[in-house]
Amino acid sequence: MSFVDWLSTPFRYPFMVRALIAAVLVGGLSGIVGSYVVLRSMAFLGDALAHAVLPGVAAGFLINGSGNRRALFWWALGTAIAVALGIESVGRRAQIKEDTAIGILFAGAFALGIALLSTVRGSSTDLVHFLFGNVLGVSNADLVLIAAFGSGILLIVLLFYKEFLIVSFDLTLAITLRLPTALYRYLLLILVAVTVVVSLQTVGLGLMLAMLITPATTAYLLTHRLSRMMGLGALLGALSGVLGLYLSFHFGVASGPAIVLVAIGLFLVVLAVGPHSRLLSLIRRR
Amino acid sequence: MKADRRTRLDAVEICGRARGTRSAVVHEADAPALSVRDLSVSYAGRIAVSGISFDVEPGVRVAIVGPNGAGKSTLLKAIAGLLPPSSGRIEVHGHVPEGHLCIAYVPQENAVDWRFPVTVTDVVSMGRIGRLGPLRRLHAADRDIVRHALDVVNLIGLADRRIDALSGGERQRMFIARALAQEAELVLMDEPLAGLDVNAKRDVVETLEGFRRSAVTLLVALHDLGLAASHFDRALMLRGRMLGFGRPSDVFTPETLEQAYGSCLRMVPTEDGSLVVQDTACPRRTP
Repeated sequence: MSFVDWLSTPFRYPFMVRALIAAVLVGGLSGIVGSYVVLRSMAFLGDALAHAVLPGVAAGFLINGSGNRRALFWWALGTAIAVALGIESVGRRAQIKEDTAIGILFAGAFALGIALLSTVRGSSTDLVHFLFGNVLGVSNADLVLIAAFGSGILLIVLLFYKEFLIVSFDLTLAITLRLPTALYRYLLLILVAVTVVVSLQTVGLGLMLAMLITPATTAYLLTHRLSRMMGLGALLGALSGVLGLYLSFHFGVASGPAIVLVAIGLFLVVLAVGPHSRLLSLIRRR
Repeated sequence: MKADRRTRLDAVEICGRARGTRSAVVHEADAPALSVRDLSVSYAGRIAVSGISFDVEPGVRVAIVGPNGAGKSTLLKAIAGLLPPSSGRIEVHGHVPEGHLCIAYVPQENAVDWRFPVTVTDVVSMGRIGRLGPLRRLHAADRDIVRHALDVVNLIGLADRRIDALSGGERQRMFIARALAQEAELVLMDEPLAGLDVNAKRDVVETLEGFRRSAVTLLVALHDLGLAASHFDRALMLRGRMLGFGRPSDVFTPETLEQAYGSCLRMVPTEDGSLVVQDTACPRRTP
């Protein structure tokens, strides 16, 4: 098989074309929103959000049935936003440390989700799809949803770029500039929650965290401006999506893990030979 | 001279108001720049400072001195409007601090993540955001102000440098530039000289002279009593409560120094009768 064939074969299948579009959208979005997750040290929160979506999905599954994917999406979205706001407001008032609060909520929600799903007979395949994604099953309607919410997120990031920057970099300054800091913090969390939900079908909730932080971190190693980190993160996320899908198609690997492994591969390459590489500076010194 | 005055009047006019968005805080013309009355502030569930009363006229430079844990940071945060007073009153140009945009607070160095991917220009530009209001970008005039601020603190050459590449002194000068860009009239700095070597300290203190020309009121928490005496108009001696406020030579008496520092201070009498004092910065002992 020639290289051109290798590249073009997937396009003969409409489901692969839809999957590639989904992977590019989700990868790009994760790179942008993930930049905030990385810089604000919200990795654990992002992971918790992804897992906490499960009970919502399970409830939708029990109430609306597995066939109604649109309903599952709205259930997941509602749960994610509720959990995000819940974590933030509990973290502000509770007497316990924030990571402890997140840990309890995260594991509790995940257990509840699995418990709910286990009451349905033959639900194990669906559980696997939620956990690890099923990008090959993306429909046109799903693509429209991903694109619509993705544009919404992009618009908010563009509109409030400087406010998000200040709240993330120097909260004290934001307060003395009399910005409505609580509003922007909640808004950022909602952005992460929505990103998690629209990405669910591509990589699944088990691997969501990798997409949120890996492309953004790789970009962080390559640039020193937030705007460029976001742009580069989006490119790297999209690239991981496409390469991962090719690997999945040609070698029969599950798509979600393939995408994540490519993203981590890119990260390792940049870590080894990028501008901050110690390996490279050792070689240069020789 | 005329131009300086002009800028200052403009600043008075727009202080406390993001363009067209928030309600204005108008400065009272005859009020002091800062007035503190019977102030107590709690921090982490206990009273950190109490019984604080003093007035500062516009353009005056105040050094806040006292041992670690004396409440210097807490006092500065309360004046910035970051911590609510438990009792008493703070007025900046005749109004409570919360509505003001003209108060710049420079945190301790470790309060900021220095690995954040921003350049010196990015950080200084942040000072303009409060006046812009949401959804608006920096205008050419804002960028001119940022550039001028960088020029004043002598950081133009490092404008596009990522902040983790700055030395300690350069970091403080960047924050001073941000306060200038903010067109602040009251600047609060929490130990800007901590951890700096002698040359960097002198650079920062000389950069602070830039504020004097534009009649900015300055409150700086310090450990270096010598610099407090030589470069500041007033000293405020603090240890939970106010031990003295006035001209440094009047405040730094053997009695108040002993009260503030106890054995944490070395006093060395010199031949001409003055005292050489050294704050060894040992932690506050429980009384």
